[in-house]
Amino acid sequence: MKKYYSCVIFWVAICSFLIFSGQTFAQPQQARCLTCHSDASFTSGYNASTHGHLSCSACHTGIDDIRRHSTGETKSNPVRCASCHSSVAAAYNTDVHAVIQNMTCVDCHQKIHTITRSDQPRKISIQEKCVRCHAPDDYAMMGHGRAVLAGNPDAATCTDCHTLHGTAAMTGATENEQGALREAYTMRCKTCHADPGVAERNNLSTRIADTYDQTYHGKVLQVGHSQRVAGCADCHTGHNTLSSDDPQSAMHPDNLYGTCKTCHTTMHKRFVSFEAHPGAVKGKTYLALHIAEVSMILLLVGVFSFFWLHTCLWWRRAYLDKCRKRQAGFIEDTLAPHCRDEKQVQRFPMSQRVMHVLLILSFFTLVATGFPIKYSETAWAKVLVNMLGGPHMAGLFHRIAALVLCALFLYTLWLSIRFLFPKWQWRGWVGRLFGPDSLFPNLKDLQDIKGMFLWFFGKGPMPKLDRWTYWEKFDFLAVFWGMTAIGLSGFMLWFPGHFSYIVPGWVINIATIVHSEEAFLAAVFIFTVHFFNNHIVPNKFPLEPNIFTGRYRVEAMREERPLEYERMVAEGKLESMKREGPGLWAQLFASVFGLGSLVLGLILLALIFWAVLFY
Amino acid sequence: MKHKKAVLAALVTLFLGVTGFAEAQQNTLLPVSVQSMKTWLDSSPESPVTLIDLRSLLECRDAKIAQAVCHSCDTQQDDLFALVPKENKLIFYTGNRLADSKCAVIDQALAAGYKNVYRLEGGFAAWRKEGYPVVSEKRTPRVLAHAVIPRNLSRWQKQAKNPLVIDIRQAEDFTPGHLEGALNIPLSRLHLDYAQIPLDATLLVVDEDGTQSFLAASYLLRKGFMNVRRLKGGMNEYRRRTP
Repeated sequence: MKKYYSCVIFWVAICSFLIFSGQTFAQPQQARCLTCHSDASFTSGYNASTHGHLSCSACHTGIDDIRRHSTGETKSNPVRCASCHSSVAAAYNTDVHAVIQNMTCVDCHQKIHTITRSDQPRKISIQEKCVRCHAPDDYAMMGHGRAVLAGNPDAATCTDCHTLHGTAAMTGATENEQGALREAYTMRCKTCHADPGVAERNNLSTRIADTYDQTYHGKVLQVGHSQRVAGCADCHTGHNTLSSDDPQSAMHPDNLYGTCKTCHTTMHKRFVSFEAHPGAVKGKTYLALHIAEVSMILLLVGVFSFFWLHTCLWWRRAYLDKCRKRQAGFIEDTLAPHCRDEKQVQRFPMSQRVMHVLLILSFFTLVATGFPIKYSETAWAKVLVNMLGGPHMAGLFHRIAALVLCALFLYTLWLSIRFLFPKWQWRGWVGRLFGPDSLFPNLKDLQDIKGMFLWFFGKGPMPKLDRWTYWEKFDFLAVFWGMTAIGLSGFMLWFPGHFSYIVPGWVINIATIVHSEEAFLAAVFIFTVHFFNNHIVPNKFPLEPNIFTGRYRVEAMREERPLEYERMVAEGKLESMKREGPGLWAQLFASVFGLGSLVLGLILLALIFWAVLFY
Repeated sequence: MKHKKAVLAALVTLFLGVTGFAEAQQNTLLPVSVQSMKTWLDSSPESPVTLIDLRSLLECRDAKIAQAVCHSCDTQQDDLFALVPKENKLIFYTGNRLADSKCAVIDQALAAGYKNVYRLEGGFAAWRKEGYPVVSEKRTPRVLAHAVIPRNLSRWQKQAKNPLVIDIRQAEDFTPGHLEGALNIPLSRLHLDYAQIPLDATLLVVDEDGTQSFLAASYLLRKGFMNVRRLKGGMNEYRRRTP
C-alpha cells in the first residue's frame, strides 16, 4: 500500500513539473533574451499580451547556441504562426491578402509582442482593423459599417461577408471564379436579409431576398450562371449599402443611371425605372405590375377552365363510345400501323409537316431551357440545365430556338396573307377568311362548341365538323397571340438596354411577367389540351400520326370531318386527294418522333406541376 | 481542267498557310498549368526548367517561386539567356495576368531560338492559391496606407496638401489614359526613381487594378514619405465608376 502511494505521488510530481515547466522555464529564458532585446515592447507589454504565457523560443525557434546567437553568428528561424494557428494558416493560403498582396500575419496583427484581445465589441474591433488599409469612406461610413459603429448587433462587419482569413480574390479571378464569388456573396447577403427577425428589427423589407429571386438576375444566378448577371453587390456597389434616399447611395435616383450602366452599357435613362425588387418596398404601389399579373392570371384561369373542362368531358364521352363500340365488335383492338396498300387522304403537305417538326423541336427546346429559369428554385432546374450543357449553352439553345420559332411564325403569317390574297387578288378575301378552308373562327364554330357540349352530355349527336375544328383554330390563333406576347417580351428580356430607348424600364418587369406566364400557358396547354385533343383522346390513343405522315384513312376523314368529306365528294375532289398510304420509314418516323415528343412533353409537364405544387 | 488547277493551287496555298501558321504558333508562348509546372520543377535535373519572374524587382524580391530568377519585362540586358541551354524549358510568369509577347524579355527569349517557351496560367497568384511554397528575398513590410475610392478622388485632391499622383503602370499603359498631373514611375523602376518624388508631397499611388499599389505605397512609406494613399481598384475601378 505504501509503495502504491509513493508511486502516485511520484507521477503527480512528474505531471505537475511538466505542466508548469513552461512557466518556470520560460521566465529565466525570457529574462535572458531581454538582456539584449530590451525594447519597451518586450520588457513591459509582452507578459500581459495574448502570447505572454509563451517563452520567446516558442515562436523564435532554431536558437541552439545562445552565445553564437548573441554575437550575431546565427539567427532564429522565421516565425511560423502556422505552427500553432494551423487552421487559420490553412484558410489564409487562399486569402486575397496572401495570394495577391503577400501579406503576412503581422501586417494586420501589428505590434505582435504587445497584442491583446480588444476591449471593443468583436464586430467593431474587426472593422477598425480592416479600415486601417481599406478606404474607411468606402465601408465604415456606409450602411453596414455605420450601423456596426452604432452598435447594431445585426449589422454585418467585414468578416461576416468576406469571412475571416479566407477572403477570396476577385481581382485577377477568371470569369467562372468571379461568378462563384458573386453567388457566394449573394447567398451571404440573403442569410441576413431573408431573415424576418433581422428585417423586422431593422425596419427593412422582408421581401428583399425573395423579390430579387423572382427577377431575371436572381433566377439566372440560382441556376448557376452567376458570371453574367447582377448579384447584390453589383448594384449596391459592394459596401455602399446606404438607403436610396441618401445622395451617396448607388441606389439614389441621381446615381441609378451610372449604377445600371456599369453592366448595361447600351441603355436610355428611362431604363432606371426597372424594379430590381418588384413588390419589396412597403407602401409603394406597383399598379402596372399588379394589373399585368392579374390579367395573366385571369387569362390562365379562363383558358384552362374552359379547355380542361372540355377535355375531361370529351374524354369521358369518347371513352364511353369506344367501350360501346368494342363491346359491339365494331373496332379492332390493335395499335398496329395501317397497311400501305390502303388509299389514304392527303391532309398536310410536306411543307406543313416540316414546319410542325421544327415547331416541336423549337418549342420543346424553349420549354426545356426556359422553365429551369422560371422555376430556378426547384431541385430539377440545375439538373436539367446541366444536362443541356450548362446555363450558358441552355441560354444559347433558348435563343436559337426562339429565332427558329420566330421564323416559323413569320412564314405562317406569309402563308396566311397568301391564302387571303392569292396572286394578290383582294376580291373575295372576306369569304376566304370565314370560309371552310380558313383557320379563322366563324359562326359555325360557335354552333360546333354548343353541339360538342350537348354531345358530351348525350343530348345530341356529335356535330359535323369541317376541315378545321374550333379547337384546331384556337391552337392556330393562340400561336399568333402567344408569339406576339411571348416573342416581344422575350426580345425585351434579351435586349433590355436597347428596348429602354422605346419603353421605360418598368415595362421590362411587365415583360418578365408576360413571358413567364405566357410560357406557362403555352406549355401546359400544349402538354394537356393539345396532346389530349390530338393524341390521347380514346379513339386516337396513343398517337395521331397524320401530322407526320401527312395522310389519314378515308374512313377517318368521313368520321372526324364529315362536312369536309361531303364537300370534297360533292365537288369531286376526293379522288384527287387520295394518295398511297405512308411508307414504312414515314410510319416509323411518325411513331418514334411522335411518341418520343409525347413522352418528353409529359415528363416536362410533370416537372412543371412538381414546381407548381411543391415550391 | 483550268478550274481544277486553280482549286488545287488554292488547296496547296491553304495547306502551306495553315502549316506556316502552325509553325509560327510554335514561336509563341505555350500555356502551362501550375500542376504541370510543379511536376517539371520537381523532376528538374532530368528535365531542366528555367523559371523567370517578370514582375518588378520589388514584387519579385517580396515573394517568388524559389527557383525563379527576377527579370522584369523592361530589363535592359542583351545577354539575359547567354548561360541558359537551348534545350531548357523557359517558363515565364507574372502576377495574375498572362505573360504576353509585349514583354521585351520574352521577345529576347523567342529571338534567341528557344523552342519550349511557356507562360504560367494564372501567374504567381495561381501558384500561391495552390498552397505551393514561396520565398522572400527581401520583403517590404506592409505599412498602413489608406485607400481612396474613385468617387472621392476629387475631394482628396482638394483636401490634400501638395497632392501628387504616382502612376506605377508601364509607360504603354500610362500614355493612353491617366489621371491629370500624374507622375509615371513604373513599379519596376520605383526603387531606382523614387528620389524624383518631392518628400513633402501627399502621394496617391495608382496602378491598373489595385493589386500593386499597396506594395508600392508601403515601399514609399518605408522610404520616408509621410503621407501616402492609394486608389482603390486602380484605374480599372476608376474607369468603371466614373461615367
